[in-house]
Amino acid sequence: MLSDELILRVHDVAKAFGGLVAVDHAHLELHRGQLIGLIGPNGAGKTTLFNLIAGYYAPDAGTITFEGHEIAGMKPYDVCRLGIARTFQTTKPFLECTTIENILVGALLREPSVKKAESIAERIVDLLDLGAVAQARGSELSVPNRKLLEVGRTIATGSTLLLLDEPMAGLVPTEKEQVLKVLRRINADGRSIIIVEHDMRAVMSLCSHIVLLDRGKVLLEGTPQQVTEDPRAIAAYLGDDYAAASN
Amino acid sequence: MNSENTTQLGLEEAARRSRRIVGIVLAAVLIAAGLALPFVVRDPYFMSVVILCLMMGYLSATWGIISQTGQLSFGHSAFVGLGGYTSTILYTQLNVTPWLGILAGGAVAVLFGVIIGLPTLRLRGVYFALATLAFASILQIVALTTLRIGPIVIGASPGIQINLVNSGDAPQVFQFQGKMGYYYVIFGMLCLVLLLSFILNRIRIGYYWRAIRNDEDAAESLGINVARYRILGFLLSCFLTGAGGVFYAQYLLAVDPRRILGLGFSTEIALMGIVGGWQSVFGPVIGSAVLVPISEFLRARLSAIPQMTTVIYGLILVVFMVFLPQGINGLIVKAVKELSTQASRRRRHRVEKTDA
Repeated sequence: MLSDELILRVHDVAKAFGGLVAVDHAHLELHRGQLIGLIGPNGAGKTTLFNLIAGYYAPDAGTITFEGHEIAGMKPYDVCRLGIARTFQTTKPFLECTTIENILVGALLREPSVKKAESIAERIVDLLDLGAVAQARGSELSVPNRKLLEVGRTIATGSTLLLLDEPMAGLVPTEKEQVLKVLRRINADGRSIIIVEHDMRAVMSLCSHIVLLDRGKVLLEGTPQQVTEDPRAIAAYLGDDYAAASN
Repeated sequence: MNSENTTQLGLEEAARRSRRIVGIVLAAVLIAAGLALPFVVRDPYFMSVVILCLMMGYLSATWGIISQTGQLSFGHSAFVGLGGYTSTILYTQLNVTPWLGILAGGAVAVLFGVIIGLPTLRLRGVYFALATLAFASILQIVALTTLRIGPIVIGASPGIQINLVNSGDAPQVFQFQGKMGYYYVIFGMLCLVLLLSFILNRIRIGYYWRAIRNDEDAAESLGINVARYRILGFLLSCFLTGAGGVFYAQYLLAVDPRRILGLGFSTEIALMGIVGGWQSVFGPVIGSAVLVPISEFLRARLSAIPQMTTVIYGLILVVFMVFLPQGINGLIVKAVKELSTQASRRRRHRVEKTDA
């Protein structure tokens, strides 16, 4: 599925909140069909980077190019129109809407007819194994189902790039397995994915390429093996002392 | 597991279908009853309360179109007043029939809606609610103190009177003898607005409004231009409210700035929507059907204490906001859903028994 076509290029992007530099001249490249894991300790700037790509923040510096369009500073709904959809770390389902309706809202972006959008939503519900809660309201869903629902909504928009913010946080191992299965399935359909995740085992098994962010900078990137074997990765998570000791 | 799912889905489907049938029958019965009412009831006081119910129902239903997007207007009297003043000025000074005044009144309300809505509906939070409240107060003060703007007579505090034509028997200029004509006009307007809201709720814009009022961030992440859909809802609400103002002016044959532009009137419109269920199509009408008779009753009993109705309104508002945010409509929906699901479950149970 992986092609050579570069679809997303984040170049020299920076964002500061007051004196706090959240993203510090970061770079990121993604090819069509690629599944990138974005990792890093808390506060490394992962979610901020997502917010910059998805249009929730405008960067202070740098460029973000998606399929030939400069998207830095664009509004979230325009970014989504171009084909980037995101999920949220704290899930945001439409509480009074059913699972089907939640996903249907995403499908309405490219399919104005509610009837047709509903049948798209039904297919996605099947793809995500959410059939049992198809008619349950967002307010009634469990955490893993809310996470899947958000993934379903991003797919429904017809986006080619999905930004998934911790889709497995707070889940038990069997639930994580289920989400992993779904993510592999939608990646195999040709969608590119960038995933922020703290569960290293999950990220390592899912992603071919890992980017490690630390204090707003891309500290290192490479295959899962390259990243895990790099002492800088251990240092970023556990501190320099620990890295020195383990050497 | 799987067969359980299909049973569950089948149950939902059956319940939904029976709800739809009940809904259509109910709508048909209500419309028929509405059309027949003036022939059955001749008491003019009763009719005037019914017309007031319908008019407040209409106004809170049009108010409800903006609240569907999650923003509450506390100054909707401004748009009623703009509509009423526009058609009245056009009729009394240029002899334009108020029927055309409906379009003009709606258009003027939309014009001011753009000025209020464009900046504030881009913001989150209470700015819109505050702006509508402020706008209504300013408009009332302007109307109370301005005798004329250039050649246009505003009338200051007495407002503008509309002269009777042919002792009221002049449908071509929106005047009727007795109550029956007004009754059918407002009944028709209410039916149209409800039908419109009902349809809007089932197409894309309605789904987008629901998404926006549930979560703006999530709505934006799915490609929805939140500000644009909010503004669309608001302008539609302004137009229809302005049209309602024309009816109000013709029914009373006057525009009185203390009443038509009063903040108390704004509060009443919002209150009926909130009590009935501000996130639903029919809620506002239910609210007015319940509250108008109560307030008429109270007005007659408590006329010695003029502010008493306001106090009671305030209490009702607080109680509903705290204990029943979905309003009366929410209660009904819940009950109907429960009943219809139970009914189809029983039916299935019977079928399974006979199969066995």
